[in-house]
Amino acid sequence: MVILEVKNLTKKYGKGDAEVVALNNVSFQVEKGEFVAIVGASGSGKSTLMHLLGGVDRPDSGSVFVDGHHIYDLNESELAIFRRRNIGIVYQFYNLIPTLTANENIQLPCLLDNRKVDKKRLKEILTTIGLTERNGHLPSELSGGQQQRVSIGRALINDPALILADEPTGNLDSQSSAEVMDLLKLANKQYNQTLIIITHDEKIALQADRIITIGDGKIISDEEMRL
Amino acid sequence: MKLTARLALSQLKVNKRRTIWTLVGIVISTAMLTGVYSTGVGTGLDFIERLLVDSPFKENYYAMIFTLAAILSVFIILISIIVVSNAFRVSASERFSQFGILKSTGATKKQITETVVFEGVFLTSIGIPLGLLLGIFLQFIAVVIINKYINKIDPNAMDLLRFIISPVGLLLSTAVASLTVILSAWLPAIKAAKVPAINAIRGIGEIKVKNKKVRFSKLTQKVFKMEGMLATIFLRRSGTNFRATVISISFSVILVIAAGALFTQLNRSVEMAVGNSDVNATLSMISSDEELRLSEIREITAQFQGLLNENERVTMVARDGIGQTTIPEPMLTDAMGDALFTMWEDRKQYGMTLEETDLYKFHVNMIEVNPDLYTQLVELADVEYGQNILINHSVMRLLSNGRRIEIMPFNFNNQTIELQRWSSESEGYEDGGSIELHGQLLRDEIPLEIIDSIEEQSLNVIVPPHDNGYMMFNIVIWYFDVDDVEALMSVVMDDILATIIEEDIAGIYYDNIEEIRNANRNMVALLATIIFSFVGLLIAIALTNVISTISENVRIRAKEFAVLQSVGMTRSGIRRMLSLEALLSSFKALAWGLPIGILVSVLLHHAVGIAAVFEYEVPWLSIGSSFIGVFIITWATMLYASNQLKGKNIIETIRSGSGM
Repeated sequence: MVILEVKNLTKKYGKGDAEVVALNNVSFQVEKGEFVAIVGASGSGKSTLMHLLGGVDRPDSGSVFVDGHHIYDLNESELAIFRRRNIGIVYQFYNLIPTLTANENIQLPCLLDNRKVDKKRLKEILTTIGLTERNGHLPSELSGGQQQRVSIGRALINDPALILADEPTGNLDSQSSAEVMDLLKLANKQYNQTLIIITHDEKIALQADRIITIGDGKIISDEEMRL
Repeated sequence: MKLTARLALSQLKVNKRRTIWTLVGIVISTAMLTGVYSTGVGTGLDFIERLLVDSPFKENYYAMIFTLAAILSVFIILISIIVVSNAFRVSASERFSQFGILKSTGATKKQITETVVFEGVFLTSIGIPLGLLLGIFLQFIAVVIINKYINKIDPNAMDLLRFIISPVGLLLSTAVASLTVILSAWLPAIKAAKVPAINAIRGIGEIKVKNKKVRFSKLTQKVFKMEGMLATIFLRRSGTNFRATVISISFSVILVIAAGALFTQLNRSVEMAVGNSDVNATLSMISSDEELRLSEIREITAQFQGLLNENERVTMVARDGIGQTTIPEPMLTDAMGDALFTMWEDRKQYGMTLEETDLYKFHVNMIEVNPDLYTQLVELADVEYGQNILINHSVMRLLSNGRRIEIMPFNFNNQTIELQRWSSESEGYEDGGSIELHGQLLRDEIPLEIIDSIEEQSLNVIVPPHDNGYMMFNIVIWYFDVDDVEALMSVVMDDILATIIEEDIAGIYYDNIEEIRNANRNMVALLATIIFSFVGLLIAIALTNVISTISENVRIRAKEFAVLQSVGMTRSGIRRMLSLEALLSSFKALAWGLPIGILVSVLLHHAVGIAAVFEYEVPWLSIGSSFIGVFIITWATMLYASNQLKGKNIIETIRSGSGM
């Protein structure tokens, strides 16, 4: 089942002579439960792509359908609501609210919906990300790797259609990187979570089911890694 | 320019808004200090030299000006330190990463400290000259306004104060202001320099967060929902950032309440002094040794009445006060007994000796009023026409602090008073017959004109108008309630009183109450203007802090807001959260400010106490207005600040490192 459909997505920055075409008419589809890695050099447009997929930015032309919904038909508020229920985003830096504990950060998408979190699910997620003991700590009291795990927990709590991760291991040491990747792969395999990772690191990309390579705003290649 | 100076300058330029608000704060406080010092040393000393040349109290006046200036300075310096040091604290914390880089490149602690202190130097170099100019202007305005008011109070007083700029005063305010600013910059500077390089680069320490457990009531959850919870969490856990804001607001609230209370005090005591009746002029006639002829007095009263319109009134109160009596103890109320005792103890301090028996010797005043008033009083006291009415009210004044005590003195029981009359021939007291008390009037029933006649330790009786020559009136007071005092008085003095036989009169005194009342009102207005201007300026300084801190806070958290948005919080949700933060901070500020402010107003009430014992009035108006003021200001500032974030792209904000 197609969970994500991208059609003729175009995004430009600047004007006139200074105009840069970050994405040029990009189209592709992703099935539910796929693990896709989007790779490209710096400035290739991969980050722009991710922001557009998550609805945090708007394209100049083209459309994005998440779980059948055309996200750019929604106004800003509706998009925000859609995002909290259907998309989990993990960034490279500064993911967490510094005044909220790990526990509270994880529950954020539910809180924003004014819903109480299912205690069982929360416990499950905490166990999965391996932070049951430190769940009452503030981000400043956690290591980089632990913080990233918390953001993955937050991305998972609402059982979203799609998880988007922008260089999730870019800021971590090799052990933490491995832990974070294992977590994401677990979510993908065990919860059948669709996972799209943006990365410039080949080693990370090779762990995915499918690699889309972007260069100069266009899709250069789209390969299935496993059959 | 030195590198450290250049860095400081660029920091000031980068954050224009905060620089400007801090500058405004410095300018206002310098202006106030200049106003105080230059006025004190320039105008004040000139005033003393010119008008009090021969006064033995010159020393006291010098001391008074000095003390006043010192007290005012303390207020100004206090609020300046709160405001300016906070501005520097925020500025320093913003630059932690910069400091980290500097340190890792080899800058010493001293150099880091310098970059902050230089900010102070630049700000003072602009702020202080501006402040001095503004201060001189304030002094000018103050002198003009005070002179104007004094002219209203006493038209004969020529320009009392002169506008004289004092170089010493200017130097003093420059020194104090500079010192205040530099000191305020020093501490944050030293703290900044101490942060280890690595923390600085990582950006730790910008917003101090404490891990406090935060619990919510079911009510909070239901009403304010998630935004309320987030707002509460933020405030509780990063409280230090709001501390300066809350202090500034509480300070302002306290000032407003205290000023309001002080103003109410002044008003009340002035009212008490002059009274609230419609009487706008009085004419007093005091007899010499010979008694005033009753018939003449009544005749004059009739003539006065003839001059008046329908809506005008004249009340005659004629007093015969050469009698005395000894009040039997049971007739005195307990309150009166205590008050007498207090009064006599008080008198003893001033060297007056007394016997126990003196406590019960009361002066007796027999009072006759014009017939229509007498008729009214007879009805009030429920007696028959022709009977005597006891005025059951007393006013005592303590010498030590001028306090007035009002008491119901007698246990009325239709007593008969044995009178002793003073005889000028024998120069002693002789038996003077007796007066029967048929009825009484209590405080609220007694007309103000009669209360005026009540002396201390006296028994006052209203007697019916009769032709018994036995009454020897030694003072008559007419109370006028007329439209045109001046016109009436000229007729009275030139025509009517000219017919009186002169030997009988020791003196005729005329008081234009209206004028006195106006003068007092103007005095109060003057004091009010001074108090409220001073307080207003102090609050203005505090507000610069509130505005800059709140907008600063919002700015620093730009990243946080972006993350919230990316996780799915709507923009209106963020605005709601900020509004709630504003609301909650306001509550906190009021929770501190209101009780302390009310406490201060109670203290003021005790200290100022002055001439009358009147009840403490809760300054509702001040409380109410500070309430409203606080909410409006915090909310408006939050709104303004959050609007600043509007245009920002979520993703750019998150990626741009520290959101600056």
